[in-house]
Amino acid sequence: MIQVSGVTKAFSSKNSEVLAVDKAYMEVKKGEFVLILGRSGSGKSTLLGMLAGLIHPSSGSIRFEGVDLSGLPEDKIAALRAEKIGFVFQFSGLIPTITALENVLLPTLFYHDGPGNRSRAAELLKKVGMSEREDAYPHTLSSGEMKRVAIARALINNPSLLIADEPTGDLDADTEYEIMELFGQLNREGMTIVMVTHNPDLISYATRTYGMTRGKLVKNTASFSDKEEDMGKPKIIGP
Amino acid sequence: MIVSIPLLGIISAMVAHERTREVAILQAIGATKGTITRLMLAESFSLSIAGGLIGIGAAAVILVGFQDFIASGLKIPFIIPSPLSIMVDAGIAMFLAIVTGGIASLYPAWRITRSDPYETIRRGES
Repeated sequence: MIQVSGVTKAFSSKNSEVLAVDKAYMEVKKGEFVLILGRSGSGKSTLLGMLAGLIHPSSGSIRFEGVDLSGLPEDKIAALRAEKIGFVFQFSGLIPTITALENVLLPTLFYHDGPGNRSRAAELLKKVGMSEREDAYPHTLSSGEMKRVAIARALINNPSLLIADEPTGDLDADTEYEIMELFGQLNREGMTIVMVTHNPDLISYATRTYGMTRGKLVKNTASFSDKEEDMGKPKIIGP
Repeated sequence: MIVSIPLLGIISAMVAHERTREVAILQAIGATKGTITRLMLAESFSLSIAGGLIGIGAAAVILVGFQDFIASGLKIPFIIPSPLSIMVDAGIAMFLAIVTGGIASLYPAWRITRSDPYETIRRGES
């Protein structure tokens, strides 16, 4: 489904370049639950942003279902995001002025041929255990409830890939467990998931893991040792 | 109009700045820059039309309700203009309100779509 080949992302600083992602190679197959582990600043979110076509790589290529994202104009990438990629952020990312149900329906505005409609939105809210709160505004929901609505929103256009950027980073342990169980259930139902996290305890949910330290992506990394405490910092290159 | 365009531009820019993260989220879930620009311009035009209608309505109430006071205050004869003249003036006022609102929102709309959506979303998390 996704092939990442030699992808590098460098950000220009004042007098130097910060290498956020350094020649990353990665593959995600259909139906997998891929977990990318890394400390804050290790480059994992930058990699995720590139997978979603929100950040352009400095070099290398990312192929999504055989299509090279670097060869697509921005409008085509946006259309691909609307149609094939569901996105869950660390914070809920709900629009505060509309209800939970309307938030779930939001991506259908950008993908007119999608299966999204009110009954499907209500069905998805039921699936994530939020059917009682579909008319609630985000400020009345707990962090876990907001995350559930955000997951329902990510699923409304029936995407082939679910991308989650530290989705449990702001949750307590019980709510984290509930949300991860929900992701696990979605994966068992066939949804391909790529998630980044700094929490090694979540590895049991993944079918494949990668670790990220200082922009370097390493396959099958299960945890971080204490000696790697400072390894999350991005690499600075050049004067 | 010369004064109001920059003033409305500043207000639009402030509103746009506050909503940068919302716009970034919309981009992340599939909105194109063109869609975002159209949404912002549509909102601006809607507000301009509403503002224009309120302004015209308020002017009509003041003109009709206070015509005697205006005439005595300015010490000149005051005659309500003809309906046609009022409609033309109202049309011009509405046109100016829409144009002013539209021009004032162009730069904020352009600027907000030029920001890096993912960086904006990440920044909002901290």
